[in-house]
Amino acid sequence: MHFRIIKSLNLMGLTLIGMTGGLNLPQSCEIQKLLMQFRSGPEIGDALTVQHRFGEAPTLKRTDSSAFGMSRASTETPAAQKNESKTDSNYQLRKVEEWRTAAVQHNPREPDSAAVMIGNCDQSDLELVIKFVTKLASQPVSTARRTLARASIRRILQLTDQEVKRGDLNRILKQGALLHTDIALLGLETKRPLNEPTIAIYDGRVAVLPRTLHLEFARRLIDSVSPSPSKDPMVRQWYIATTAHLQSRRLLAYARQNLENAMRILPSDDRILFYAGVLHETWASSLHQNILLPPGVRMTYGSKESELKRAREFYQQSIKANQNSAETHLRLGRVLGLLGNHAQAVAELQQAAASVKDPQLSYYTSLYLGCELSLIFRRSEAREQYERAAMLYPIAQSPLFALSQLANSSGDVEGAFLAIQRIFELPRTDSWKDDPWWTYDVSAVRDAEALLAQLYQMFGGLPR
Amino acid sequence: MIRRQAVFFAILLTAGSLAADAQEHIVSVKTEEVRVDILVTDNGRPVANLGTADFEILDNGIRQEIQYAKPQRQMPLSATLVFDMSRSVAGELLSHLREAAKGFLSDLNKEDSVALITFNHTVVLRSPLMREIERVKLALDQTQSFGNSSLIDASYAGLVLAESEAGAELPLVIIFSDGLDTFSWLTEEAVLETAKRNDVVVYAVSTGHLPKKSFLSDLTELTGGSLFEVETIENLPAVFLRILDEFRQRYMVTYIPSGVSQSGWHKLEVRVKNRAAKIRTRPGYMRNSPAIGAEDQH
Repeated sequence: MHFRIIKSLNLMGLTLIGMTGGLNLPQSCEIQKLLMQFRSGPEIGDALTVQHRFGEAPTLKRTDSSAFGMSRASTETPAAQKNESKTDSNYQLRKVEEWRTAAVQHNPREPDSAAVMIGNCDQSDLELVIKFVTKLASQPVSTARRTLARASIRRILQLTDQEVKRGDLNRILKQGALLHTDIALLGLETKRPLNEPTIAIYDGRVAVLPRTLHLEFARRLIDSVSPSPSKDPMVRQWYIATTAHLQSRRLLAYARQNLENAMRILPSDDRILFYAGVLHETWASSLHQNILLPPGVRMTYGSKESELKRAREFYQQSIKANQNSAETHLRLGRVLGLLGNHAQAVAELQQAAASVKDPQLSYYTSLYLGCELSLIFRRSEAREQYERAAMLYPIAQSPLFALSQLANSSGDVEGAFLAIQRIFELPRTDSWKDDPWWTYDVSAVRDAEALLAQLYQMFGGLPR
Repeated sequence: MIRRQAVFFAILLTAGSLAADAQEHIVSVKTEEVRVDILVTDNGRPVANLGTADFEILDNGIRQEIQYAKPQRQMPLSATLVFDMSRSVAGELLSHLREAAKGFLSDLNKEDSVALITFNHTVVLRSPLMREIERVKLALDQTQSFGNSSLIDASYAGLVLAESEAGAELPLVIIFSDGLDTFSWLTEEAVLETAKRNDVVVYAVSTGHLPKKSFLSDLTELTGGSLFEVETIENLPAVFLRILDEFRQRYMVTYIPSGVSQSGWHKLEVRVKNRAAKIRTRPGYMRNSPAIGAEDQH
């Protein structure tokens, strides 16, 4: 086991996009030492992009920084070259100016030189910049107007007359948030802190990932939108799109950080509550419960039961906010069933079945309804539901396993064998799409790409 | 269920005299034979040369009349190999696994038959139960490791296939995995319930240490098999050969249950007379009753 974990850690550069959950590590833990080794590994200093298709080992495309019009030397901070103090206000303002210029020059979703430069920036410099900008944004309007009217600030932040007049930094905050979001999502972040790592889980094995800073920077900027981030549709879109993206890549620990903030800002948003339910339901799955942990390491999420209960809570809240989401009823039904409330589960699933149109959701509805019906001894209805699921996805194996087990539990040994034979006769394509059961954990965010496209459209439309 | 072979007794009833024109009534009585697979060891070594008279079996506390006790080595073997081909079984481990399996296959007799199922998230029958060992070896060479693990689904498929395809011989299932399931549809409970209903003996080989109570430990215990946790993968060939050797040293003991209920869980107690031997066998079997009610209830 020891061997395997080290092997996973050595692959960390390859597992930036993986299945993550939160984890607590003791300071003296061996993983911390290994993480240090990783930090000084060959990946550092290069721009990395990770191409990942679910179900395959991610492949790494290494791109030297110079490919983006920058040499390694040019990324050295001028402060280091000139021995200039970081506490010097001129130094700080120059960093803010560089950051703002990069935010203006950055093209949404492109690993351009602006994004690469900020991705290579010193963490403490960026911390200074974010503090500076968010502090400015949090000033009362009258104070902000005076501050923004100062020529140096106005020039550095490239403010318009109207913005100065309104004391409004929203455009700057949003463009900055987009820049940091892209750095995080495109894998351009090269300097990562070692504390509070998150993990990736592959086939029950744990790999440790360093914490990502740029998503945090983006969150801090977006949360500073005035007068209230909860009233700005772009803020909501940012949270929904980035959370969906992170969940679709199984970066659950990062998604949790997003959701914690999102629920503070938008506590009654049905979509945010739905994603929170999905997060906890996923943590209750075998994928996250059946893992081998190194000694001294524990997960920050709970047991299967406690996670299911939290998921139930969020789904119920989401339904309170919007009763018409068939998908939320479907997921609530499944969770209720797993918690042993089979009759309620059937009711929820039947409600979902009545309005669900998407074939993938229909498949889940039939599969879960079949399972619940079999548990309350309505076997013929259960069989019908399983057969329906098998018809929707003819090369899926899960409905056939369900049919076999249903036959077996009725004492029908031959029926059980025939269903297994059907599995063995299925054409093998090795595609994850063959059986939607395998991608249930990410099915709730199947529109992640579209949500991200909407986000880019909204943010990209901001005047530069 | 423990293998229940139907045994028909034809009872000729005559009405009136034994005259040629007498009206005949044939009554067919179906009963079930229970087959129990037993390993007897003394100081860790298998005990050979035991016969029918040496065993004593209690079914739910009732002593049963043993029909026969036969060493497994006198019967052809029917083995189903269920191999994990998920991402964690890659590189060196996969090479050692192939080598171990080939060693196992080469040690089989020509009457023995073997099937190969592999799994990652999909469960695939690579080779049906057959005696052409070379074809199974070829199938083994064509396997590649990737994806996640549906250990529970694959174990279920192995149990059902082994039970259905085996003839007179007792079926053996050997599962190789790192012991972690991440993608199965079926639950552990469903598979364990199935194991109680058939007479397959399951051996499992796992790399690394599993939690004390794991699916594989439960499954092997319930079927009277063993779980081997391999410390170093170089030991895999030796472990596979040990399983084969151990299985051949086992006895198949049969009886027709009497004085016990027709349904439900039957606890088994097996003893070897006049000997302080250690017995490994399944703790019991499920008879006739469907797992969760026979009829639909609305």
